[in-house]
Amino acid sequence: MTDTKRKTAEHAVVNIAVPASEYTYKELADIYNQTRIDYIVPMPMNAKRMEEYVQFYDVSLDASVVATKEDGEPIAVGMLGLRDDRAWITRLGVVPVHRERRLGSFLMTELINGARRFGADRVQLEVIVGNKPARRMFLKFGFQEVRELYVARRPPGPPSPLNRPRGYAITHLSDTEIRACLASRPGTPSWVEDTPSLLTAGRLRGIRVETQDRRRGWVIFHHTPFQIQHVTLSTNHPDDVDLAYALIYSIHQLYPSHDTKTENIPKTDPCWESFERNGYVVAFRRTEMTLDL
Amino acid sequence: MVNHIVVIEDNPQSARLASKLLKRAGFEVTLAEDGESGFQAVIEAAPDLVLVDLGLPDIDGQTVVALLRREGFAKTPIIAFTAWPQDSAREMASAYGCDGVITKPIDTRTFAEQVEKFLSDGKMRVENTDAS
Repeated sequence: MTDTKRKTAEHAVVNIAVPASEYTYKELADIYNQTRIDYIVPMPMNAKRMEEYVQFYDVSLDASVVATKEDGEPIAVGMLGLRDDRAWITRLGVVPVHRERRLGSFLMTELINGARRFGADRVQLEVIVGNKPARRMFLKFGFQEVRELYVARRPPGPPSPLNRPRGYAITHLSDTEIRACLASRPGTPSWVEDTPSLLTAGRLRGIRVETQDRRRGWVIFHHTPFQIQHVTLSTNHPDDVDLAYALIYSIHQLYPSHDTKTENIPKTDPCWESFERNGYVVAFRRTEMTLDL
Repeated sequence: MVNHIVVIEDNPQSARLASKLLKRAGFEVTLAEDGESGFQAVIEAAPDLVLVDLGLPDIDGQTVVALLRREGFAKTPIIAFTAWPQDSAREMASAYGCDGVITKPIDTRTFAEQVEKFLSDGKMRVENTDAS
């Protein structure tokens, strides 16, 4: 176990950084839930969700940190995803009664140092719009705002037959084609929507759409028995919002009873309009931020 | 006849407080601490009203609402119970077919009355129970 002890001037309290790998998934979920009990958008987790989160998003439990008091009581947590030369800070939180003691900064220092130790030269994170204290702290650490992202939902329901796009040929993608499409996808997806996340989550399905005038595109998504997640699409012309509409429409035509959640669509993505036309609504917004090490 | 309410809430303190206030007002209350058990509780009990937290640790409240509406609970009042900002809460609740929103934290003086209003008139509303 790596101990890092530091005394704060105000309270003479010793904060200890314990690798998250010392805890079970249930313990980590419980600690995390306590830190987010009064959050703007509470998103609690159980042990199973925590385990999936760690696996899908390449979170390193050795590099992730639980801050404890000297008696071992956990009071804060921060997690670090690692992929090649990139790192991602996530699930950062402090138990409410222990705030205002610079624990957030303590964790950030540990996580950024961890990112450097593991060879990352860039760290990224997302902060919910409206979380001003967190945003201020990240800016103090040198993070820069990159873009605003939407987390969007679409309730179950078939798309309107009146708005059915016409003149499109639809085919289903094989697993091999899905992998090939993801390997060549344009743009810079967020960590959660990035190709490694999708491939690890698995249960991917894909649809290709083509028109007679050779406009074409694909949409790939994660499919569970009752929910569709991680919708990602590409068209051979980036601003072809009508084709994007047809791609998204085809998902909900095929799976009309499914609830849908998709994360981190850039606010400036011209295809957002196509999501809205298909009944998606913004659940909340995040700001993506990065720090070059 | 006593009205039966299923409360789907993962926070134990919120759940206990909601249950206490509703029972005091004469309701029969079933508590569920996550989406899956909440969904099952509604299927089994066919309650008069469902109060569902949007942030649940397994499947979130919106998905629970969607599943319940799909499983034939089209007319059961379902109220989103959430700490989300009011605008987002209203939009999300409306999109998913909730009959209303009660925002947290619970106002112990008015909470039971807010729930009773949903049972009596079923109109879409957002009730802010913030005591401040």
